Amino acid sequence: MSDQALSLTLFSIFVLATLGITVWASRQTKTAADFYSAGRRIRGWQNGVAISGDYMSAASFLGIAGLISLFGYDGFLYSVGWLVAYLTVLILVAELLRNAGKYTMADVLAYRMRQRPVRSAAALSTVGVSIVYLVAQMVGAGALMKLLLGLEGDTAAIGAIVGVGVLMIVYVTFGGMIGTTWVQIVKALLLMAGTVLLSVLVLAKFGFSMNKMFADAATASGKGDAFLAPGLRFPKTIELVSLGLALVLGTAGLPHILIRFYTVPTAQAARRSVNWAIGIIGCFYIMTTFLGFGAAALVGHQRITAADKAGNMAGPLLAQQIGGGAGSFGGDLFLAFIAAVAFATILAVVAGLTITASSSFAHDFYASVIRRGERDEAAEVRVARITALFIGAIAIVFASFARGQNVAFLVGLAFAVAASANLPTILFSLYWKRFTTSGAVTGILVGLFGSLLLVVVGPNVMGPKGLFLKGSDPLFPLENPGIVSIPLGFAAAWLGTMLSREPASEERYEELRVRALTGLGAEEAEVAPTRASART
Amino acid sequence: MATLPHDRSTGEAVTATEAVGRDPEMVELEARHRRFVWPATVFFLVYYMALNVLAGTSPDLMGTKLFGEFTFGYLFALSQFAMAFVVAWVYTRWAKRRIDPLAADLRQKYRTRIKEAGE
Repeated sequence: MSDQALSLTLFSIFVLATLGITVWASRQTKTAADFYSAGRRIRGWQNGVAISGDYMSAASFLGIAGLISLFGYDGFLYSVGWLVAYLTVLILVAELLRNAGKYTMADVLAYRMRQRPVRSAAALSTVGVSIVYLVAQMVGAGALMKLLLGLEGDTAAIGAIVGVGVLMIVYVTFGGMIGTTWVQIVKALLLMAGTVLLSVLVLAKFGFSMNKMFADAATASGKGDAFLAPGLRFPKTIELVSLGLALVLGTAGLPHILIRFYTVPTAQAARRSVNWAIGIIGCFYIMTTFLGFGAAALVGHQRITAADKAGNMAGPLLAQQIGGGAGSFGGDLFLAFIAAVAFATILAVVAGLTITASSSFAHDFYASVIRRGERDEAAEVRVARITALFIGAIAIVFASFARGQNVAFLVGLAFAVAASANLPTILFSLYWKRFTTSGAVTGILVGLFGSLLLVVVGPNVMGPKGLFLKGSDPLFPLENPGIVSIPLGFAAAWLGTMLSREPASEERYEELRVRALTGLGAEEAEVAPTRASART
Repeated sequence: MATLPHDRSTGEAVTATEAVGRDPEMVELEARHRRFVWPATVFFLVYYMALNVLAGTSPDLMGTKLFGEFTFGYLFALSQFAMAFVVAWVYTRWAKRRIDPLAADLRQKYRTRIKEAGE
């Protein structure tokens, strides 16, 4: 049996076993199966693990390790930003959102507003953010398949992305609608176990001396001490600030994370779940140090970029090296295991994103806007399925163009879009009395299209390093648009409010505050909805 | 839905929400919440952005080795994790002491009153 075939066989066994565990686990309990409908019964810690599962994507596992292995210190800044971001969620959003909403992110955004315009805009931005996020996951999955199958060249890379993308979307659309909480929990545990194992083995290689690991990584990188200092990936301060803002503010605008808070019974449980997530995610991100610097020292720049020029394969290659190197049984086995963990990671995130985006489209746009609130569950599910396939197809097409990019970098763009389009409206809805429907719609649309446009005319899409107009300079100089697009989103939401003639939704604001802060209306929602009450 | 007894001072009918909104406990809850969340947000954002700004403006300072191969930059980055854990802990403790009892009180008070008024 050749190495390639051996890795692939082992990988398939691991993936099938993971899926088997997921199916088995989801049948063990009724809670997971009915959490969307009868929900709000998920425990705080379970939800915390599930949030971690939803959050730690290919970007965290493949992307950050890759960036650190190629650029040293700068890559670690992603780890920091993505953790600190949970303070925004914990302090400003999670508990209030839990009490104010019901099924989708739009529930909170549209609470005080005219339903149809705000729900349409929110559905659009949910789909937009999710597609950008999905593109990154597909790029990671494609790189992984290319490595496992030993493919070479551009056509094969595109083929790998299309193949694995189609498989994932079909699985999620037709098989994975039930029990996503368990997909996330199983995946989070696998990922933590795999990362701890890899970290310990890496440290063992250096006699459990981080000093030796850093020193060897700096030497092997050829950059010396500069590898342990900032500046190799992001030499410009403004670029770092822009990225930092997007990372720290983006999480609180990610629809697939926000809807997780609807699955717990109380605001306290929402708080507990964020705290669990902070603990788990924090430990994971600290360990990216070992994956990244370990790969730099043990695998080396040349082999990492040979497998994937953006470094996305640093983690799996590190596993192969630790197991005994390419061609050894141990190396193939460990590579297959870590690749399977990465695959499960990506699959779980693809599931979370696709389901959030398609259910938002079906619930907020199709049911509320097209059908004007008339209930037809069968039609809603059908629309959600079609939307999932459609979103998947778009993501696959974009991913084949983005294949040379680092996965963490790509997800950083999704965070910029989320922070620009969703966060202003979420915060103004929850905290600003004067806020209006026009403000909400303008904020979402300007933030969404502004950030997307700045990416398209930025250096990664336009100009010499991009995809089109290679002869000219990009119109926008920054890779991550956060520093411009996030203030733009806030300004648009504010201006839209100040310029509109409609009366401020102050009465509903008071209602929202009471409900959000005390949970008063939230708990009574099933029996006597306070929404109807204010009108009668 | 249940309208509560008329407001004694003005004589106009008040809905449940309005009654809760005017309750001194609710006013206090709002004030406490505001006094904590915005300063806390400003604190962690400033502490976090300081890392990014210093990484951009002072790579030499960040690259200074403090212990063995551990640079100031890496330790500052690690301190962000500690900061996040501590802020989350402080927030949780504060919310348990200062927010939860008031919220529970209001829930208790008005859930009963709404029920009585409704039946």
